Order: sequence, then C-alpha cells, then structure tokens
Amino acid sequence: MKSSIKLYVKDMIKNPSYLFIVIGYLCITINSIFKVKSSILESDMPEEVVEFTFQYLFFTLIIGYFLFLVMTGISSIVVSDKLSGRCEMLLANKVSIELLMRNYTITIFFLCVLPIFIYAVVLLGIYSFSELNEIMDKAWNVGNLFFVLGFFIFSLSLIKMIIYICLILKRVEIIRSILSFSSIGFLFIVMAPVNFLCNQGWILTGYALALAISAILIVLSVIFLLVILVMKKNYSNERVVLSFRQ
Amino acid sequence: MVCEESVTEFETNAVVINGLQKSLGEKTVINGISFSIPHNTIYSIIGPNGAGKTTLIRLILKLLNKDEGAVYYAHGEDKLAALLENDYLYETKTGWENIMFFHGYFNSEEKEYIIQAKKYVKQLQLDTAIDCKVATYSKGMKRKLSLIIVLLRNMPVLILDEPTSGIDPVSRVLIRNLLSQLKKDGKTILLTSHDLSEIEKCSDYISILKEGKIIETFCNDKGAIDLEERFLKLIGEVEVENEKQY
Repeated sequence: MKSSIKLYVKDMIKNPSYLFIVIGYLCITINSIFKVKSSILESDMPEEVVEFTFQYLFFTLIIGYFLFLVMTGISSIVVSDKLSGRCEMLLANKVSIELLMRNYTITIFFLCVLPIFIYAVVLLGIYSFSELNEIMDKAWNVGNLFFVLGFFIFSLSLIKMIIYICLILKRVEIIRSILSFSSIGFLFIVMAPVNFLCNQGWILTGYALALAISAILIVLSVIFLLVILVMKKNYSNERVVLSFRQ
Repeated sequence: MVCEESVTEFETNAVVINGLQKSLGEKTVINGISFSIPHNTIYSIIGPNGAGKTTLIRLILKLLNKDEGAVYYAHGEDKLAALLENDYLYETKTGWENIMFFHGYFNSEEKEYIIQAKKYVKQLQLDTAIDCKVATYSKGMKRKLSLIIVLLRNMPVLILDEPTSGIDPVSRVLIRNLLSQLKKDGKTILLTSHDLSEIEKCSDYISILKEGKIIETFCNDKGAIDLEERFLKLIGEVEVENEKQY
C-alpha cells in the first residue's frame, strides 16, 4: 500500500492547485513580511509590540499555510476519489476503509508538512538575517518545541477528522465550498484567544505566546479526536457508499 | 461448526445467498433472495430498472449491510473482484498509469502483474491507446480499462455490474470471449446487465429479478430460448406480439 501513497504524492506534486498554493503563498507572504518589517521597524512601536507582531505573524502564517494546503490536498485527493467512484471501487475490491483513511491521512500530512518545514526555515532565515535577529534570540525557546508538538497533533487530528467528514457527507458539491471557507475559519478560531488577550492589554511574547498557541492547538486536537471517536463508532462501508448517492 | 450440508454446498457453489433482505429508507429493495452461484460458471442476473440488481451486488460485496439473511463464500469473502457500474479512472493519467496506480492498492507481484496486464490490454485491443490519457478514451475504452484493472486482481470470483454498458459490438465480442476464457481458467463470474443478447450468449445460469425478488432462475440453453420474450412475459411489462403478425 506504500506505493499507492507514493503515487498520490507524485500526483499532487504535479497538481496546479497544489503548486499554486505552495509557491504562491510562499511568495505573497514573504513579500508581505518584508513590507511589514520595514513599516514596523521604522515606527516607534515598543519593542514588546514589535516582538509580539513578528512572532504572531510567524505562527499565523504557518498555521494559515497548513490550512490552505490541507484543504487543497483533501479537495484534490479525497473529494476527487469520492466523486469519481474510486472510493466505492476500492471498498468493493476489499480495500478496508481503515486502510483508505490511513493512506489519505499519511499522503495529505506529508504533502502539508514538507512545504511548511521549508516555509518555516525560510521565515526563520528572514528573521535571523535581518534587524529582527534580536527578536529571534528571544523567540528561540522551549515554547517553540511545544508549538511543534501541538502543531503536529493538531495537523494529524484535523486531517483525519476532515477526511472522515468528507467520506460520509452526502452533498458532495458543498464539500469544496466548506473546505475553502473553513481554512479561514480555523485560523480565526486558533488565533482568537490570543487576539482576545491582546485586546485586554495582555501582550504575550516569546515563551508565553508559543505556549498559548500550543495549548489552543492541543485543545482543538482533543475536540477533533473526540469527533473522530464518535464518528468511528458508526463508520461503515454502507455509510460511505450511501453518501455517494444524492 | 460446519454442517455436512454446508460443506456440500461449498463443494458445488462459489457463493451461496440465503434469505437476503435489505431496506433502504422505507422501501424494501431486496426481499428474501436466495440463490447459489455454482463454481466455474457465468451466472447472470437481469431485471428491469429498479429491480434491485445493483443493491444485490453491493450486498454481496458487503458494501451495504444486510438486514436479514446471509451470504457464504467458498473461497472467502475477500476473494472477490468487482467491476461496478461507474468507471473510476483517473482522466488525467494514461491507461497504463491507471493500471499501475491500482496495483499500488492491490498487493501482487509487479512483474507478473505487468505481464498479465499487457496480455489483457492486447486481448481487449487497447494496446494502441494504452499510453494515451483516459480523458481521450471513448466510454467503451474506459469500460474495458476498468475491467482490466479488476481482472488483474486475479480473484476466483468476479462480480461484474454492467460490464458491456456503452460498449460497441466489436468490444462486446472481445469481452464475451475474455469471460469465456476466464471461465475456462476456473473463475466464477456473476454478471448483471440490461443487454439480454449478451446475457443469452455467455451465461450458464440466469436469474430474473423483479421488485427485489427472484421470480425465475433457469439454466441457459444458449439459443434454445428467446430470452427477451421470456423476460418480458415474466416481468409482465409488455405484451409480446405474435411474430407471425409481421
């Protein structure tokens, strides 16, 4: 079955939508960072606010990038397999639903994490080799390890939950619309608590910000895992197959 | 515990269906169906639209859960290969890429798989088009390719839902010859089709399904009966005119 994952990945790498997101997001956001950097550093903002802005930007961009990649991957692989009847064909030919889910999850996870890793390195490079290097010294802390862990769990649970939902959703035509809007929605949900605290005058920076975002990601992951557990109890070939029929 | 009767049934039959019942919503789609598919035969199920043929196939393949009854498999429930009504191919890939993609899901030795694939491709006269994108294929060519992918699973029992749907007469002959060869190789084949002339030419046994019930099963003495006349009389839809009037 590993070869089917390799083939999915090879396919997606040549997919125009995926390439557009991978390269387009990278170019647009990096260009924006340079512009934001110039305007903020030229302003008289307190150092704490500058530090918060760039760290916040870093985490938001990573999570936003991930969400766009997930939505593209799921639309191109899972939704496409469902609409074409490939899911049903594979289930009919004794490919278990668990195996199908696993293949989709691993494929989409890999397709999301690799560009994000490269993106994070590029962002950190920009921060390190610029006037922002002092911020970076403060940003290099254990909190970022928690962010990586939280992000890892969040990404796997989100991908799995969306795949579960996609395979049993009857109105397939709305899946793609839901996926497009939900990428913005999820980003808002993840950053909302931090935004709220900011509005109350508590500006989190460094370790605290990384920890806060990690905690939010882990809480969301737990919710997603609970949703998956509930859905798994009633998951069957029949539920998936009957959802094909409008 | 396996009783003597069951052992005998499996000696003669590849699949035994007993009292199968299925409702979808409030409608009883399959209503107490029982029949057996003897080893090494071509068994066909025919019926009007909405008779329950596709639902019956899905029950046998365990894509749907039965409400009552049982299905027994002499070779094991995993030893089925199924061609469903819809083609499920990747339109942007070539025919050969499609064949190799599905190999990734169906574990088999690659060398043998490729040899067998080339044999089927030649037999079904797809060799000139096999390296072209599936999007350029006619309906008949797609059907043949879908059939090849299923046959490459090399399972003892084949379940084919409308295998000649949309296929030109020449290709129908090729598929019929292939099915005869598969039967000689020891396969057991269950077919559903609307094409009564094809059924008449290749089947060993025919069951007529109407409103979820089998109304008749008979041994097909090829050419000895006018299947269309018999079918139409049994389902009572059309009064068949006396041929002498013409």
